[in-house]
Amino acid sequence: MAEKDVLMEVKNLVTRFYTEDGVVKALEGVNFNLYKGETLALVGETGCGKSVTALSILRLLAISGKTLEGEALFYDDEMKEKLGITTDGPVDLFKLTKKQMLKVRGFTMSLITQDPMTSLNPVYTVGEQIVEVIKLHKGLSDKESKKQALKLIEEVELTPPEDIFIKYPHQLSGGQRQRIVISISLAAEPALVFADEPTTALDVTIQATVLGLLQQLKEEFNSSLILITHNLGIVAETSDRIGVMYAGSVVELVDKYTLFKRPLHPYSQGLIASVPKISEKKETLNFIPGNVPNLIHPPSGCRFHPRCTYATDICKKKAPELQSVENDDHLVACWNVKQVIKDLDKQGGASG
Amino acid sequence: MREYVVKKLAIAIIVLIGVYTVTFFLTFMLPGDPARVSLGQHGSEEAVELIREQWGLDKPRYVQYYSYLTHFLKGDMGKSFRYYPRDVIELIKYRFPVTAYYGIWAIFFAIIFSIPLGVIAAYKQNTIFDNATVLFSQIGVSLPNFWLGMMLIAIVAVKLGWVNPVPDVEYGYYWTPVGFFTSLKAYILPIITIATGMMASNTRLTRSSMLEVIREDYITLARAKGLPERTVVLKHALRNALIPVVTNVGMQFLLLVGGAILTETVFGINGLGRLYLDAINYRDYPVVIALTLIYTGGVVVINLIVDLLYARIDPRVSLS
Amino acid sequence: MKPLLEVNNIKKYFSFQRGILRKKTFYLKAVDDISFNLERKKTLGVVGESGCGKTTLGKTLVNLHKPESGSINLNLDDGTSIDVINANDDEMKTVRRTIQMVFQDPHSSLNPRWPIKNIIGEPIDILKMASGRREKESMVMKLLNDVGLKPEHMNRYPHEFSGGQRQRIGMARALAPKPDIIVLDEPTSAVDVSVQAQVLNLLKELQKSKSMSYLFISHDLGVVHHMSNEIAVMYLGQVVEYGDTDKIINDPLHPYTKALLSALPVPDPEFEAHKKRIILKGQLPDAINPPKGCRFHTRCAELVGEKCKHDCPALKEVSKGHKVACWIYEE
Repeated sequence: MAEKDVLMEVKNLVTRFYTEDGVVKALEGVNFNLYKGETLALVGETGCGKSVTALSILRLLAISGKTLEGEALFYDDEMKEKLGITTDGPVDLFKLTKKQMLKVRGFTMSLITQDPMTSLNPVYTVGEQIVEVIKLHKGLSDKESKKQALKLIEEVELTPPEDIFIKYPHQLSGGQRQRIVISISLAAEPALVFADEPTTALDVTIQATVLGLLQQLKEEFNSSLILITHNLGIVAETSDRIGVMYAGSVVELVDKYTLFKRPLHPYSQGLIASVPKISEKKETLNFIPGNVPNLIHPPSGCRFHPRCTYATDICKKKAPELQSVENDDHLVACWNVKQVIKDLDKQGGASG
Repeated sequence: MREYVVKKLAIAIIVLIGVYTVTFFLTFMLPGDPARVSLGQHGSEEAVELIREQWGLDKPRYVQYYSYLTHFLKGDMGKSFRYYPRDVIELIKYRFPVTAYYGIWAIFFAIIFSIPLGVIAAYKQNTIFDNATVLFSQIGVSLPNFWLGMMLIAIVAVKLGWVNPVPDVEYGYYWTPVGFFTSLKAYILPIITIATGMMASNTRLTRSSMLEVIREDYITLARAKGLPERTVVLKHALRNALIPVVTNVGMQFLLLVGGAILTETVFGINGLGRLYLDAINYRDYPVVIALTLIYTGGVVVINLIVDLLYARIDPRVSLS
Repeated sequence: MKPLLEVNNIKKYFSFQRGILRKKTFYLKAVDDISFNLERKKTLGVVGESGCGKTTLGKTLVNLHKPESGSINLNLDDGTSIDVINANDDEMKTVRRTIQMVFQDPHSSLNPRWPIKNIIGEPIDILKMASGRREKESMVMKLLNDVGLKPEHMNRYPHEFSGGQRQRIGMARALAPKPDIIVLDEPTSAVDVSVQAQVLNLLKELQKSKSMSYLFISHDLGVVHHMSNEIAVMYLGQVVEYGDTDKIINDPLHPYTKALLSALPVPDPEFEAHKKRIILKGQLPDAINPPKGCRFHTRCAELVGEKCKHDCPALKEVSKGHKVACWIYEE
């Protein structure tokens, strides 16, 4: 990365869901930073909190959800201008009023949801749904908005744009719909796009083209991307840095090459080793014993400790913080990371 | 779409003939001789025979069946037994306006109150407002019509004396431009009687449908676009949530018939409901058959309208 | 010795009607002329994208669908051979016992109102394998133990288990009649990555200890590669390439296989950085009205000529244990 301007700093995000079965402790101190123009992947399994992180920052949690603590500091002049904020320094998204948030959503931050079959409103044409954002945030006339929408449709490589514009979502294939969702998310040229499992519902060959397009447009529009996925392959392919999440917090944050070559959190190690790869053939796969924990009654201390081979007493008592290890850009939340490193070096460096 | 309508109407004719056949044979299987019923206990055997001949009841059943059918196809519904020699059509035309009057108001109220209530309740799920709405609509759907009608008479009309227990409006006045609104007070009790259940079921349906829709991804995405809540709810959620409600309202037009029989009995209104009930009691077969056919025709037409509305609201529904 | 299962030229079409006044009958050729052999103790991986017919193929093998034509022969170890499609009642019983299926979704494939001892015990009852309740229960307990679950959990209900555990229950049910073949339809697509590894390892162990053959259906080439000895690549109801796993992965011949491989995201950034990507043009064609000629020609980057648009290439052996259906490899 050439320049390392920070776009957003997320600090100690704590989110709960109040359900009939109890309080789901979905996020327990999520920390990460995001650079301008980068693709940060948040990767983890079901219930690790990767989608909740995005919705918490967008302040779009379901009614049962609530972000109790945390800051999302945003460094973006365009946003300050739009909100009419003249003070120096970053803006904490959680301190904005509801009305201000309306100006931020779609304009500064946008969202791409997982399932293109359900993410477009079935009763409006895709054209109407794109125009809506343009009119809202750019204040253009109907005619101008339509022109821009057609341009966007062309940008996501759907042709001919005029035909696509008047189509209803059900008349398009999954891949085409996801392209429309992408065009909606980019319509106001936001500084940050959250893509929540953008290709999980698509076939492999379609997935590849959609991801390629997303990456290319992100660069064209000069946006940052937070890519939320459970698929380590996609992460290896599309991201710059990776935040590995487990049971409500980021446990490791580092560039993708280092993560795959030298993962330092025991969970990251287990996760990477458990995926079958076509680049090598093994008789048996490594795996992480046990199951993903129930977040109504999460394990005490480090939430990974019941499944961790390195676990010691302190792991049961206190949750470790994300700290730099080996160099400033490699952050790990593990009490026993020194032991992990020792073992790695014994094996000769590489793992996974 | 035209093809669809034509096809539906073609099917409707077959359905109507089927319904006619079934009703014809069922009503004529009812115990009791219409001629005897019309003359009462003291009519002589000869007089009864005479009337039977006049009404064609002495002919074999299949001849009667065929004779009615050919008349129907010409638009002639025959003559009433009870009010002989008045035409069935004439009777129905006379009774129709009053039932239509309070029925339309009932459905109107059932729609305009229920949809906003359902939307707000869903939007404020689990608040006091929502719980109260759920409770009242639960009560509303479970109240029997006739009981509600009698209670309203006992309390509002008799005890409080706010309105007359029996609507006292001159025949036909309620369909004049002024009368349409001024008669509302007189007919308010039957309207409430019929509308309560409908309103309750519309409210429940709107609420549950809305709850389902606001969890959809496209609603999250609409919010993520930065749209204000009003737009999210009214533009993106409501139109989708209304799809099942449209069917329900269509069904309610049909439920009106059952409601009308009870309500008109309770409030002493001389409408179609009473005509139907009396026709059955007096073995007035031509009226019973005619009303049954009209009802069936209504079902077909309303279903067709619901289908067309569906296609308008939901582009995924295609009629061809 | 003949292969355990010989499948020759099977076709499975689904017909349905469209239109109101003038009804037209359409055929979806879900499985269109597919042949393969399944060897003893081996795994054949079937890979392809949604709508390619891989699940229909699996269901046809366990007799949930009756094929339009073709033959399926089951050659048992005792030397008997059963023509599965025309089997009589007695033979059918043997077939049902011998070929089992594990379904994709562990949430919907188990009856939620049954304790798992009934779910697993059902095939034992049907095939009258136990002589009493006690024997049945001990069989169930042994099966639970085999799939890595606690035998004392047999009185619990499916919702009390996690996705991975439910998939183990599905496996135990399939193992109950002591089958020789298990058709696994996307057995891990609904479970998490770390749990997927547990399930895959279990499948491999069971295959060894119980000497079974697998037909492993998946959209995930990485998983198929890990599990299979041979791979069949499907596209729109047909097998376009078929051969030893290593050959398919390291030396793919069919343009579709190449594209599929290049599209597969590999969890290895260095590998990704050097990977050549083949972008397929266009959308997956409508399966009801597939392209004439080679079905892949509308998206193919290596068209040979007009031939591709008019004639459908047959699956031909190009080297030992490696077949491909493509005009490029026809002399």
